[in-house]
Amino acid sequence: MYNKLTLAGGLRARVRPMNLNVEPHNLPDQTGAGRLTVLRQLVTGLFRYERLEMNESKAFEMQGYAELLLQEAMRYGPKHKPTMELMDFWMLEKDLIHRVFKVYVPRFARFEAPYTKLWYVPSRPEGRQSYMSHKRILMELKGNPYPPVEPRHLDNKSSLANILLAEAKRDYVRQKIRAQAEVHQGTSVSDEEPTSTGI
Amino acid sequence: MFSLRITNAVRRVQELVDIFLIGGRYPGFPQLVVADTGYHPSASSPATQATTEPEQSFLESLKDGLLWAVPKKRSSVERRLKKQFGSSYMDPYKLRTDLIVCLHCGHYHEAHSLCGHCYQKVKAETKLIHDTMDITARDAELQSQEVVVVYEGENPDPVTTHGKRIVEVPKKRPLWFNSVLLTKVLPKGGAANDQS
Ligand SMILES: [Zn+2]
Repeated sequence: MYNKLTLAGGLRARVRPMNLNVEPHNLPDQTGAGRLTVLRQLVTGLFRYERLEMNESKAFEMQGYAELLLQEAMRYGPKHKPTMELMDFWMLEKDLIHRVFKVYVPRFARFEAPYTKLWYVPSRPEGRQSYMSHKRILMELKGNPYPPVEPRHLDNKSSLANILLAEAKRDYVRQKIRAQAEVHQGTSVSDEEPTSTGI
Repeated sequence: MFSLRITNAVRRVQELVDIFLIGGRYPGFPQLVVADTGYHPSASSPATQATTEPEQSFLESLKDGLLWAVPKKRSSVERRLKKQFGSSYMDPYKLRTDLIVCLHCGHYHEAHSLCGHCYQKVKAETKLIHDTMDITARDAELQSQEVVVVYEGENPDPVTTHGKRIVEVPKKRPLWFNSVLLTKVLPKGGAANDQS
């Protein structure tokens, strides 16, 4: 089902072979170019807000373009003409081109690709009675400064079962040490009696 | 729209004709329709056809013609209502078996997704930070700086935040959003209690 897109850039993100259920958004000239406009808007929004919510099919289609842009930027830098043309096409707001090279390229130097992360968010938003037919996805850039959506580590150290288990483990270790000490004592009873009292 | 009206009118007339000819409407009754194919091997010419073909009974005419598809069973009330209104009315009341309980807040959420209640908090906080840092400003110099979020009563480390843009949010840091880079969220007394 999944297919790794083999491009010159060697894209290191899973890309679906076909687009799914994205409406064509036809422009008046009936070229279907409106779809590309939607994708450009999404990529621009992602690079500005670093966190964007959309439906599943758009997210899967858009992720590849965002990844490719970042990888090209990291590989060739701002003085490479084809890369800059690509940036100029995809960034509808031109101040973000500076952002890509001055913020994202240094940041992602310490990350491994893919640089985007997808989270499924509830398909029943607040204040909505029924579930939506499309699954919703939150796409974010890695290393962003916002509060993490990832479920934080559950601190269950003080739950009753864990307290009992920890105590049982400690008991087991104590018994083992005592048994070892007794064996040690049995071999050399006459010599070192006082040492076993410390345990 | 207009063609639909005509179709409905025609159907109405057909129904009336049926009522007059058969003598009543029965929704489940198999209504037999006979289509004359016009092919009669015995009739060589129209003159002979008129003489040789006697008046056929209803059952005999069945053997010559074709039977069109007709409803054979009475469809149930549920099925008829679904045909009329669709199933979308009942969708919210379907039994869902893919819901689980969030371990942090106890709300139900879909098994494949994040917890909705926890996510709403994160979403609101992110929007607050976005508003504070004026994210829609199309300023190349402003946008080309990495952002560090600082809450009330926190002193950012000058070494780690060097060359970065510090955004001060005018409220206290939420407990669930603890930062590794900045100062500890827990007071010293609380940390000591944890260790004991
Ligand atoms: Zn939760």
